[in-house]
Amino acid sequence: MKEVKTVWHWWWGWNTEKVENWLEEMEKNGWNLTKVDFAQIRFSFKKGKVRKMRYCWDYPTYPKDNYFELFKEDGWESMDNKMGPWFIWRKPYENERPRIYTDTRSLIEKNNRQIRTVIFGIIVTLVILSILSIGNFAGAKLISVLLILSLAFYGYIIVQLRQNNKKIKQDAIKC
Amino acid sequence: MYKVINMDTEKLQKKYLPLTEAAYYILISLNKPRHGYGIMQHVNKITNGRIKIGAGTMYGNLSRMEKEGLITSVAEEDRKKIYEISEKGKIILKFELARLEELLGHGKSEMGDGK
Repeated sequence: MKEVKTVWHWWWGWNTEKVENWLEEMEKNGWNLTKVDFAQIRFSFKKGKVRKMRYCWDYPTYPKDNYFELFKEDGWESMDNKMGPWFIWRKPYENERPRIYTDTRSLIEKNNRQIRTVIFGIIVTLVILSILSIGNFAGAKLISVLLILSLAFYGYIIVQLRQNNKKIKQDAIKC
Repeated sequence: MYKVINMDTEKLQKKYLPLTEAAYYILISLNKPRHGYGIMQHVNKITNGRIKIGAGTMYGNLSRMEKEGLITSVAEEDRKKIYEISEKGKIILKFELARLEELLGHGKSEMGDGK
């Protein structure tokens, strides 16, 4: 009988390295990833071969066909439904650990794309809040409070992403 | 294209220079029409494997350069986009080559030409 297991694993957009490394470690122990679902935080594994497998999280905005084609040609396998906004890729390797980003600028741009998405979320939230402030129905207050809390959360994400950008600039990988 | 000619040389240099190594190698590779993976292989080959451009870096650079008008998409086959350097891209590359030549010249003259 095949051994299988499902693990819930939360991750943050400013530090996907952590979940990427965790999956690589699982593969090293013979837990082969078979499926990622539930907003990409539920991971299913099957006990199998010990593999050296690199996992990479990508955040392109509205990627076109040539995006998927390019990754496929470079030997990356898609591990999600290709709906985004996050795309999970993996590639087996022997010696040199493959990367999808090989320069500092691209890593910073990846974070900036996330920041733009969050700013869009903030604007939408503010619009809803202003509509709620005019409207007068049951629950409007509660929803407003929740939205204001979400604004704090968005702010937190932006701070983290900007800090990560700072860190990237400091240890600037050359390419 | 007319916009390029009108655009101040200094402004162009300030905006695009220096190119990153990835951007530089992508631009020179596109002197011939190529698709993303073709560029990756070409750069890997001519630099003897020193420079490997990752797929994410490649896609990001191609998208940005196309938006900035440094390269143009000339065809699309099998879901691959084929690009080529534009006139504007050639101008930028000329500036960059001049800049690199200056760097190299200074280095050589300061350090002595011989080995």
